[in-house]
Amino acid sequence: MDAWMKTGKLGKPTPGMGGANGKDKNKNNKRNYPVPWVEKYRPRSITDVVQQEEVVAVLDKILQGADLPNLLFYGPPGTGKTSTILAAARQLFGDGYKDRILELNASDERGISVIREKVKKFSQQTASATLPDGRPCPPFKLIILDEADAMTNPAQSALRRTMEKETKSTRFCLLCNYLSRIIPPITSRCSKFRFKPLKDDMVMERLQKICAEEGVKFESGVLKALIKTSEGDLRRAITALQSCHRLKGPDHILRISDVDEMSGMIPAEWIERFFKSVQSGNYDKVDGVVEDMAKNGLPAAKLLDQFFHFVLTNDELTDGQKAKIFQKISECNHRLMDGGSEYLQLLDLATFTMMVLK
Amino acid sequence: MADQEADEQAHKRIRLEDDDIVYIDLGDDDGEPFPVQSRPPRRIRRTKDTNDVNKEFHGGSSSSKVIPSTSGTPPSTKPKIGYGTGDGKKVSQIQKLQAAARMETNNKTSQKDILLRKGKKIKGCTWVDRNLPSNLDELFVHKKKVEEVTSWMKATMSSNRAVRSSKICVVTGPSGAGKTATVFLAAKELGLEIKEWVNPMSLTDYNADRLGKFDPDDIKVESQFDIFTNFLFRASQYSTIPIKGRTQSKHKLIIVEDFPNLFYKNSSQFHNNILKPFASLSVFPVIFIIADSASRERNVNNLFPKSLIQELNIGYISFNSVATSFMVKFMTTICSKEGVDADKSVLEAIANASGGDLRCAVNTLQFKFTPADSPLESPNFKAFKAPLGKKIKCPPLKDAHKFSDVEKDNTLFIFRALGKILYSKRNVLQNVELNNDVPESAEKYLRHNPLEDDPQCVIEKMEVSADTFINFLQQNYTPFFGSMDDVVLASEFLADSEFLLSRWPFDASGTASRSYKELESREEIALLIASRGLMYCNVHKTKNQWRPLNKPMLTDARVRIQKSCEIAKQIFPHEGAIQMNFYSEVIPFYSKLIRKHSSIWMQDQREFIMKLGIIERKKQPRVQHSLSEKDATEDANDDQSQEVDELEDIVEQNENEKIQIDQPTIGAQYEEDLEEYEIEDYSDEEKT
Amino acid sequence: MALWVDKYRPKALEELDYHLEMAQSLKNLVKSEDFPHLLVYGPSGAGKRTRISCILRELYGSGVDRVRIQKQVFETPSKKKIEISTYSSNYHIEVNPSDVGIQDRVVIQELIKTVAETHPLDQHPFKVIVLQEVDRLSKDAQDALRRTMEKYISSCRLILCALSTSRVTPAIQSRCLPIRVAAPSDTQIVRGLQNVSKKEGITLPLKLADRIAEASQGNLRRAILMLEACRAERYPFAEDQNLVQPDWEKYLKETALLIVHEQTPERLLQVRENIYELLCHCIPTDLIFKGLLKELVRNCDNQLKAEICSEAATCQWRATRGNKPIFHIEEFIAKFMAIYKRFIEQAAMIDDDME
Repeated sequence: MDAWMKTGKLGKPTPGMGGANGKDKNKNNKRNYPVPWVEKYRPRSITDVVQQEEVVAVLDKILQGADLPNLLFYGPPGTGKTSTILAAARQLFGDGYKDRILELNASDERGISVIREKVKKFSQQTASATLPDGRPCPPFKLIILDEADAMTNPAQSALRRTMEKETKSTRFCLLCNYLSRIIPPITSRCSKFRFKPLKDDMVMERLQKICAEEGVKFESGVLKALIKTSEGDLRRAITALQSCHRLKGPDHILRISDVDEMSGMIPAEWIERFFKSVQSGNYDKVDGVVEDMAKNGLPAAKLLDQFFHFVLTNDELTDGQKAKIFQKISECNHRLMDGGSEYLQLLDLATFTMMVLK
Repeated sequence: MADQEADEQAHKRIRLEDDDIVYIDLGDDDGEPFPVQSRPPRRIRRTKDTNDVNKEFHGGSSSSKVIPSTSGTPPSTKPKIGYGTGDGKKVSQIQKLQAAARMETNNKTSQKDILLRKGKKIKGCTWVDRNLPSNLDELFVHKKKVEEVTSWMKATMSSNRAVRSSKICVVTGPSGAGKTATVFLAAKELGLEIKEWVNPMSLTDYNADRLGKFDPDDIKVESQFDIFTNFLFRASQYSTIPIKGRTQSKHKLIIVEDFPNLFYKNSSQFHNNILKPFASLSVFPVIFIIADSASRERNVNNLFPKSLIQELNIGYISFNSVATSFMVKFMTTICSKEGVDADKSVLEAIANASGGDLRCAVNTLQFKFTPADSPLESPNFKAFKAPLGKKIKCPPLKDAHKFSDVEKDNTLFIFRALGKILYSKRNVLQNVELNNDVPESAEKYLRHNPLEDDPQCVIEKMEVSADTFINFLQQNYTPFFGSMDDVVLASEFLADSEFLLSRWPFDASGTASRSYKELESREEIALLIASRGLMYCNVHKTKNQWRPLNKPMLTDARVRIQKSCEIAKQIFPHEGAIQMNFYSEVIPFYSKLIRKHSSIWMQDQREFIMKLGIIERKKQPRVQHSLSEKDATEDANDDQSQEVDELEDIVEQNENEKIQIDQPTIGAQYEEDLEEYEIEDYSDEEKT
Repeated sequence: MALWVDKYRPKALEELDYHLEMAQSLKNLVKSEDFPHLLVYGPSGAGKRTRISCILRELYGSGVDRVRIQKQVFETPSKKKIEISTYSSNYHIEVNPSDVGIQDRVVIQELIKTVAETHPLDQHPFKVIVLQEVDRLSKDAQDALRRTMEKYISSCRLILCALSTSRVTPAIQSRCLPIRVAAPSDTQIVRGLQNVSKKEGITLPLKLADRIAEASQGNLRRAILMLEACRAERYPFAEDQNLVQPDWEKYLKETALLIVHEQTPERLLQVRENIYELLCHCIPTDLIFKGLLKELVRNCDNQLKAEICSEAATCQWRATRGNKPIFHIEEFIAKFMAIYKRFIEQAAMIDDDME
């Protein structure tokens, strides 16, 4: 049920917004605007990329002169897909790599016409086999399509033709979360690489490094909580860290509650309270808790999400009970997303669970 | 020009009637009846309805008159309607359908001809034509309506500026109510010269089947819009050139009955570019005759919205359908004239089936009573004979289509359709065969007795939109239910249908889908769910008795809500638009504070606060009975159409009574309201 | 002379009397070089708008107080004109895009574009756009919002205001700094009420303050309005004096009683008229559902309550999808009637058996 939560790209300004010259724009217009940490600590070379050995090995070969196939990276968000391809591009094309890549993400208009026009225009520019500094480099350009699974099917079909036509001068790199949403004609034209979710200790290592460099002070356990709330998504973790730091001021010592607040998570004790009231079988208590949560501005969608995990890992409940509750959760979540009232949906879930537990 | 045209037509008509072989030639641009040399005429079977053919000629010749540019191109060799030499049976079926479909328009044509060319002998046409009223007294139209029409015409003729009313008048009403006849006869009586607009045939139509040879650049296509505008302004500005031998009328009347299709789509163009300038420039008056129809685009209210009618001071005359009693009387006269002996009950049945369309009724009558050896009695028409002895009512399922040609289409007024659904009568079967396939547990869901009316059939014949109909159902269903459990099911079905009807912002692929076709089918399904659902679940019916039907309160409520929101945005510019919980929290408390702090708010704000902040308690439930109690005790086992007629008659008699349920205008007006709000999103009006 | 709610609304971050820590954080934020987009959410009456206006004041000084109300007209791609009222100063603009229904996307795109293209005044690096009720924006509009957020970040910042983040897409959430404004606790409300009374020079019995706080359900605006309404009704205060409640809530309760007393099709018709009356007073459908549910479940046992809650949740959801809430409210009432009737009849049968 939390699949939709992951579909959106997380992280403040999405890297490389609006294509190759996005960052230059940033520099000109916002002298004071510091670089987001996500950008600042992006790996500079593929060897910096955490954990994705398979891809790194292939890219390494390419760096040594092998031909680059069209690439398709898929995997959960925040596992380094964008970072990997950007780092590879930097190594391939040197510092002038920005002229050689075209980055399109779902935030840009990306209908068929864009695919045709922009991609065509870009791929028609010839690329020399040498860099300005005289170093040799592969004679092609790279088009990075971020969030390729958000493209409509017609757009993907249009892309297929373009991919075939422009192989001489251009390579494509598609990034997506779900491989199943890419049409087969495209997947068959690409080398596919799966990005595994990052292990907690890897993320921890990164976060510690960033904290040390930025001078962030934190209580023990904060980073753990951060990793937990970000569910293996490194970008989300870094963004949350930066937001906390910014909101609380540089001298503040980060606490776990800050992290919860920032990630929009509902503190665990609320979930407990909710469940206890349901267990008690007292309607008025349930009603009270639901009202209280609303008063505190705790979003119902988050509660459903976390309650799902809570039930999943609760050993007191039988599988049958869990199944019934899950069904209700999914139903309530759907209605909630569709515009149903938070209060009514939560109450429905609570009273239903009450009956299940009885 | 009009006279010339009419001459030609009459000429042709006579030729046609004398001959067994009919030549169809559409591109008759030089006025010659048979330009045989250039185009071999097609031979077609003689149809019984010569008017059909007349119509073709009429359309053809008039088009060539109106579109000057056609003269340069070879006119089509293809007749518009497929009177081919193919399979005879098939052809005759097509003819039958077309004949029925066009009956209305044909008759209008002949009416006009008769009126314009008094004294010409017309023979062998339909009874409708033969029995056309020749003066206002013979009309079976409510005297008051006739009076309205004549007085409007007189007013336009008056030289006294103060008395002169607007130059534009709209006449509406169901088809066959006598609108055209009244207008023409009234004009004749007052000595007005009539100039009528006829839609030109489109050029693309001509060339549809010979695209290969057709070079679009050769033809200067003048848009229908321009032609219409030209016609209207020229006709309204200049008097006709005197033609010798004809007395020149001082006053002229322009009649528009055929609307260029364009206007339905783009009514604002019609308003701004035609009506408004016309109202100020015109010398001669114009009458627009519009039949009420099921199609929403062709709505009177679309072409002539209330605001415009007020702004331009347009005359508005609305006809009611002819009452059954009048119709029977009229048909009896015809019968005696034609020498047929008809039973009164048969006449009544025909009158009922026609749904207030006199023309349709007379046509039915003719079909029924034409002698067997006449060409009319082809095998296809025999089908009509049998059921006429009985009552005509909506036949079950498969036979339905057989009547659709004879019975007027779209004859079910909303309240009649409502009655059929809400009473959900069932024929009681004597020996019920139990269906063994159904498991015992599901037996209670079975309904053994078949429904008297097939909901599908009711829906197909209904003339209001799905939305309106469902609103009416929702408003009126409760009194018919005797058990709460049934009501639950019913309300669920209604909610389902509403859910289905409502705007679906996204289809499965996440893109907005507003395809017309999808909407159509959804509407139909919604209607079926609502009507079938209501008919199915009403097991414990209340006593079968006559019940009044009410207009949905929803319409009213929506108007109120929208008005409130608009006012709020005006007089509380900030809070009304931005503050959350404005209506549920802020306004109610303001209303409590208003006595003490009256100076904070302006007068209009104060009124608004009191109006919205306080809910008036009604001592008694609002009066539900909207019509006199007269019929409450009537035997409900009678056919529903009986009730309907009663209702009609009541309304006819008490026109000044406040609520006129059977006025078709209620439905129409309601749709207009809806149309207004379809633009706005209803749920948004409710925001806090 | 103004109402107390407006008169005593805090104008600066320092004047806020609860959520002090957050006030401090917001101050930090304003001082820091990179002011992010904000997503302010919380229940109504918790003080979201007050906080937003405090932030604006902190950013731009008293210049933001000079506001004007304007009507802006946008044109949709299909050439339809849409009008929306905006509330703006030289530095910021406030608007409720969901006001225009399904056309909200156009408003978002055009408004942000026009604002972002005009240069901010007085050395301020950016202008602020305050969007109300973002959780009610259509999906289209939210997508458009996400794009524009990135595109114009150099010249404007967005402050989004919502009741809950449930319906705000994750993509937007992740681009904003979330600020959760919880409703004040009852003691905080009491303190707020006492402050107001002190400034007005009236004496407020503690017990009455407690009662008002409880009745206001964590809604400070409502509490202060209630206090003033009570004062208008009777002063000096009595501890047990009648609390002024919105009229429609009373009416809803009366309607609920009608439902509980009799369950017949005729009664349903009567109730329908009442519901229409409520709708005509622009009471939101979800509040009607909530109010009805709260009243109706009183006399039921748990099993029944669960059943009724489920029906309410379903019907209310469908009402938001449909255009005619009355259909769905009626469905809910009919369902309740049937369930309740069965319940009463069973209870009666059991009683008979016992005897």
